[in-house]
Amino acid sequence: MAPSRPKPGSGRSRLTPPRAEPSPVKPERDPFQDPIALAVVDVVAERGYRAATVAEIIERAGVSREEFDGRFADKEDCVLRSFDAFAADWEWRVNNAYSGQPDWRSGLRAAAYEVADWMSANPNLVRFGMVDILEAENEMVRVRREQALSYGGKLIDRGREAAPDPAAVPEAAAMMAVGSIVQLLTHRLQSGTDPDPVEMVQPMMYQAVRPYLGEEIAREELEMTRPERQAAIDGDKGVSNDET
Amino acid sequence: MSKPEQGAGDEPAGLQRLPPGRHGLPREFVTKNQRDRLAAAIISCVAERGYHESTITQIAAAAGLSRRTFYGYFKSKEECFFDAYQLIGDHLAEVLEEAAEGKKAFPAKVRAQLEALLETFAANPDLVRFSLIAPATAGGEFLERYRAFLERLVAIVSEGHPKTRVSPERTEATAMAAAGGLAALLVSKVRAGEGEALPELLPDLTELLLAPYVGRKRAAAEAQK
Repeated sequence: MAPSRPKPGSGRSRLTPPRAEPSPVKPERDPFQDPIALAVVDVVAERGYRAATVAEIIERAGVSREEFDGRFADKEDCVLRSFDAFAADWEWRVNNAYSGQPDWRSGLRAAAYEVADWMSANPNLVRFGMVDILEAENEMVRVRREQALSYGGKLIDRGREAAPDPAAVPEAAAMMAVGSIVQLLTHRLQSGTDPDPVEMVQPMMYQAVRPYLGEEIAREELEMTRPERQAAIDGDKGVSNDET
Repeated sequence: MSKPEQGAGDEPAGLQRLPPGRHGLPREFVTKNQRDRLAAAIISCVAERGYHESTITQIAAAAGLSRRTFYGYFKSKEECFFDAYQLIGDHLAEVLEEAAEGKKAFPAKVRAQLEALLETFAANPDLVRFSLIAPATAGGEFLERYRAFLERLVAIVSEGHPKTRVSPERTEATAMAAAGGLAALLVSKVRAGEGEALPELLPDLTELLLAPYVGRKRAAAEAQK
């Protein structure tokens, strides 16, 4: 009755052209080139949202109070807009990595490694975006954070098209997978040692793939290595902050 | 500074204030009653305003008690929060254990426990706001309590699980990850104002939580029962 399962290890669960949605655009202002955005992440990650002050942020950023006031209404506004810029960068990178692969599973894996690299290079950003920012108790911040997470959820839910029986995949699968991944990351953050996000890719992929392709195939993800980067395939056209 | 105990604000639902004056009730009863009222009060305050925006004055008022009485029980708002968190954990543990009674097969046990959990949260969505949302916004020690809270519930639900081919550490991580996924779903429903519809998640959750232990087919069969 059910369609035959894809061959384990084939790398392609089905010939599903991966489609990222919605297509994010590169942020107009690169947050990694913005001293205030970088400073707010560091100060909040080190001191906590409530203890962080505008004075500390501008001192760390090496900018004047006038410049800060010219761009932001207050600390909360600065946190929200900086987070928004980093979230947009995250979505853009994820989309690029995902779209450069031939099928859902390898697209998702490429995206996961891209995100992991991004996180490894910016450990304070992980803490800022995953944990600290929630202390703001700001509805707009919370909604933006959920949007960024649900973008990942939409990519995960592309697995429905790759599933042997798409209708049989529970509706809640993607949200459950995203929640599981967030739990894995925050668990590692809380355990005192900063997580190495690259090490987390395999268990995260296991969580994401399991509801769609089943336990056997998901377990393969615990052993799968990083797919070749699109940069190498296309002659170094990979994602970089310096690109336009 | 302190208000008379009968002059307080809204009373948490289901909790009766003691009669004013000398009521002649045993001290243990008074203590338990007041402590329960403070727990109910902090749950409703935090659920409504968030942890940081809730004040001891508001919590005491919602319990129908004075600030002085509050400080007779707790040194701080944080201590009161953790006391209520412990009570919720105890209550949910009891709910899960009761639901498991008489269920010999693991899939049936998990389904019954999920059903009981969803019904409990649906009857009082403030419990979701307090125990699953507030700790993330409070940070620090609250996140550790949150993890311990989930671990406790996970241990009860996964008790008696069949052996999987995945290593014990991986199984434990999977169970915690699943708990995180479950929490995310509950939070999302409650935030959307659909707390009373939580029991609708039962089939999906049953299948998603059981699949790693018993396979998708059996999990799906249990979910459809």
